[in-house]
Amino acid sequence: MATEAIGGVRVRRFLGGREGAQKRFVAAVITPALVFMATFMVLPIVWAFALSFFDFSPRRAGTPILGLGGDNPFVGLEHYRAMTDFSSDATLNVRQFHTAAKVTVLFAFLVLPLNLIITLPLAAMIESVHQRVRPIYRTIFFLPVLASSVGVAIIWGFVLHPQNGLLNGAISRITGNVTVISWISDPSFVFLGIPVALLMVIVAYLWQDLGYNLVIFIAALQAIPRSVTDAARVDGASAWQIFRHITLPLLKPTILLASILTVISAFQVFELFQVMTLGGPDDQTLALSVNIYRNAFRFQQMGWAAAMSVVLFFIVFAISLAQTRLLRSRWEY
Amino acid sequence: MATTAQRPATVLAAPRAEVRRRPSRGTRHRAGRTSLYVVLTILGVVAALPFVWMILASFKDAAEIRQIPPTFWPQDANLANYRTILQDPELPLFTFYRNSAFVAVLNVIATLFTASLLGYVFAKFRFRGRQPLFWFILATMMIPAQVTMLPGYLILLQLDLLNNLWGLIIPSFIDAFAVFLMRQFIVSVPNDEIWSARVDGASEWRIYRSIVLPQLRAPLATLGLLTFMFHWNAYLWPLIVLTEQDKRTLPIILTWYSNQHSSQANLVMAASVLIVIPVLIVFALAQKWIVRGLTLTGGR
Amino acid sequence: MATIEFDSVAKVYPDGTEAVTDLDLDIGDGEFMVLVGPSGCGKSTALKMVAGLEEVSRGTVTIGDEVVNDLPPKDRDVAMVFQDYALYPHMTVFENMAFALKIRRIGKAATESRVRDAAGILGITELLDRRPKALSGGQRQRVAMGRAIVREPRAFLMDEPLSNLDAKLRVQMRAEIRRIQTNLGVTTIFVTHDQTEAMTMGDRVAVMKRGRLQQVDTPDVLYGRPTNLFVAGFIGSPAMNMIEATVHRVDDRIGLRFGSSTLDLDAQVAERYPELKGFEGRRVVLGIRPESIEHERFAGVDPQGRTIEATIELRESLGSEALVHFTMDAQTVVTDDTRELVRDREDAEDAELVVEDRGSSFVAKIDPKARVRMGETVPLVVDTSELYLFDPDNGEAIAAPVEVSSPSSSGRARVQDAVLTLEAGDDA
Repeated sequence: MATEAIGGVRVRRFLGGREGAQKRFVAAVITPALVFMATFMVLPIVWAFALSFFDFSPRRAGTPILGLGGDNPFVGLEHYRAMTDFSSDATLNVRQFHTAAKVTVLFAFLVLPLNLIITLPLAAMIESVHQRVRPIYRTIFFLPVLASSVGVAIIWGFVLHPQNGLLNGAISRITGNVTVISWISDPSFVFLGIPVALLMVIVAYLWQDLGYNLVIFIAALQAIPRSVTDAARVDGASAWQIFRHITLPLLKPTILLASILTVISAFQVFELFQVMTLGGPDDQTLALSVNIYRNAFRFQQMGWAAAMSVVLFFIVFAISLAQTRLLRSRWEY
Repeated sequence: MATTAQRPATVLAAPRAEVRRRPSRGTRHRAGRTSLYVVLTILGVVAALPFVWMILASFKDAAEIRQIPPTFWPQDANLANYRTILQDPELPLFTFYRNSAFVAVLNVIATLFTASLLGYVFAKFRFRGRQPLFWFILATMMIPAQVTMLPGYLILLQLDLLNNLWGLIIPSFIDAFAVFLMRQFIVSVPNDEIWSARVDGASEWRIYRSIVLPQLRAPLATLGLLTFMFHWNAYLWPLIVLTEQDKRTLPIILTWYSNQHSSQANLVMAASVLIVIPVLIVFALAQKWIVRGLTLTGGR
Repeated sequence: MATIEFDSVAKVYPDGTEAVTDLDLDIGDGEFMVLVGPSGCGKSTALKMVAGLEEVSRGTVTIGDEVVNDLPPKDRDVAMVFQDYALYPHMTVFENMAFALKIRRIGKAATESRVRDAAGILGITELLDRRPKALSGGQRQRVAMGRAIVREPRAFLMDEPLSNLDAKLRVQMRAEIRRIQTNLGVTTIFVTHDQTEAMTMGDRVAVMKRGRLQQVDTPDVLYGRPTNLFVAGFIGSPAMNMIEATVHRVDDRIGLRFGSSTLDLDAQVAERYPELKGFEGRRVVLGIRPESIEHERFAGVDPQGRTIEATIELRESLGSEALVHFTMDAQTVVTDDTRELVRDREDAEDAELVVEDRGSSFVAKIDPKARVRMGETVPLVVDTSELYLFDPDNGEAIAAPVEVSSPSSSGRARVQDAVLTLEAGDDA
């Protein structure tokens, strides 16, 4: 990389004043960028950590230093200590945090396998149909990615509407009995220990998010040279054996990466929980993202919200680190 | 900052292979092939159903929408719902379209400008702190939106940009993902072209404008579409920044309208169609470019 | 080991293009058959139909006594070597070679010994733990060969396996593949677009053009008795000179006139072309190989009736011989075939020897001691016992007597000799 750079020492020898011009250019671009990044990238991260050590509300004036201190007292690690209180007399805040953490982790790690189980075979299927119809199928499955999440939440809210929804309507039509099931509003409706409301958010999210991994897997499949699978066929492998021994191992790096990205974005989903289920019923779909938002902007408990966001940060950061490690392996055909 | 929620999809995926396909095989495989199409088509219909359901519901009247069990095809399809929405004085849709377009377009312009310029500097110049700075920009892609949105709100409060559309633009002036993407492309612009322009006496800005930018048309188009899509659909950050009705963008208006008319799904669905479908069509047409952006190789 | 038989085989794609048309070809047990032709001539398609990677549209492909049209590739017991090697990037060299055996549930011990044997033959034993990424082009090629060898298949199918190698390595692998194939005695179909490769390697060579088989025979016969203009132009390097000439008879002698030159046809040759009588007074295409033209001083024969006046355009020294490009007052023949040949040769390794716009430009291979200068006009002597005559209307050889070619054993022995000579020659 360094060898490709142009503005080197050699410049002076050949072109004299040109190096000054290049330096000025770099400075003119980088200086405002640095100011911007300090304000909107570095400061928020530092500030978020700082906030988590205070009992802070933007309504209270506090001291001139970022409004911290004074009426917004320093509480040290109190927020983090409270998070570890698993006793039954923990505060509502803490219990909600536990619920939210559980919902978010459950959501992310249910979404991941379900997503892969659908997208991998689907990509392989789309890849094996005729070239001319391939874009049609791809578009159908990719379209929800392009739609606004809010729209998706509202549409699915109506698909799952207990009285007038598409799902119950279809069930009524098939069974012949009028069926009224509260898919996303009955807290006692639980399947395999998982609230059905949460499962429905998962379904909606899968529908919305499939397209991402789908196009990524299709691209990865197309990168496998035809001759490699042909060689396996001549070597005696059946279609299944080719998938198992050739395609799947070759897709492994892509699958790993797609998995990590899927989990990371699942941890940050907000719209579906906020608009489709409003975190309900009974906090069964209260995701961390929603809980942070509410505490910060509804309840004015920014210090507490910041502490929760720091926890989310560390979870996501850990997964991201793993991602950069895994980025390295790539096949050369 | 709002953009940090954007999924860093670039880091993925293998290089695009040109499509070399063998023509379909003979009769022996026709049965298996047919069932493949059948399965795919069924799945496709299922995937399209929620959209279809929304569109069909938007043509139903208030009575029909409340029927239990619901109808699928509208019994008496009409445009009354759309008329109601477009004539609703509480819902000046044009204002909200304008707000959304303003935010999205300015973000696209800003992102394309900063990303191509910074990408150029990172790709083609050597200066102190280049590597750490680039890595820092990359690292910000991994920070969840929920972390930076709290201080981000407080910063806008200080800058007096709350409840101002510029509050949705200024904080996302530099987008980490975009800078990364542009740098990857500009690396492959031949150094000789830049050198020869310098020898010809072109200024550095001139080189950026006349040599570098023209070679980035395709990736800029892709990046522009992705950026537009992201800001057009954004919800969380606008929800925090915008508090007055007439400043709001479409996704927030859609939830507001949905809450106002929660018992009139026909109206809500018509509003959803008006807000979701037009851009969906545009995006679907430009899909090739968007998909390209999502599957671009990190190409190190 | 088995015979392979194409019986009226055709390949038609859904869009109607016909890649292979009515191909009839019998390949003997243990024979090394080369399919050669310019790109798009259907040679690879024919090979893939044997492998089962392409469906047969019409006719039958038989391996051994079994019609394999409807057999999936895995049940055909043939091994294939691909142009890009198609190694499995996620497997080590050992795993690459063992893959087919693993699929066939051949025991661990047997697999191990077969892989080690094949690796020994190819000299890649120390590479067995490496991944393809860590191998050079030549090493990858060997692994691809090894993957075929361990299979102990009924036939080897090789799809331009040497075309991604540099020239030197290609010559070396040419001999090595031939040596291995001869030792193993496995029936082999080898596809290439390089006529030198075809001539040096094949027991017999099948020349194809636009999906149709032109001629199949031993390299010697292809060189000496091409059935048409295409084969004549395709085989041999530099390519045969094609001249439009008129046949006329003076007394007992048949003469070929073009421009101001006249060549008297050797009596022996005239005998070989009994049909030539019908062409008296008419135009024919006269083919003269560059190696049949010599400088007058070195020809050692009576130049009477054998001389052409050549204006030298360019002299290229190859050390043991020299190529001279010259013009004379005659026209080269331009047909679809010759055009296709020129196009093909543009990509070939000796492309620089082919004058793109041939016009009236010809090539001779002469003694390097002959001092010729550019622009000079010199008499060149043609070996009139080595002339080729073609009907200009259809490009067919004029009644070249039908000689039944004898494939297999004798041909193979000869080629082996040729290969040995070649190896010795390459060291120089």
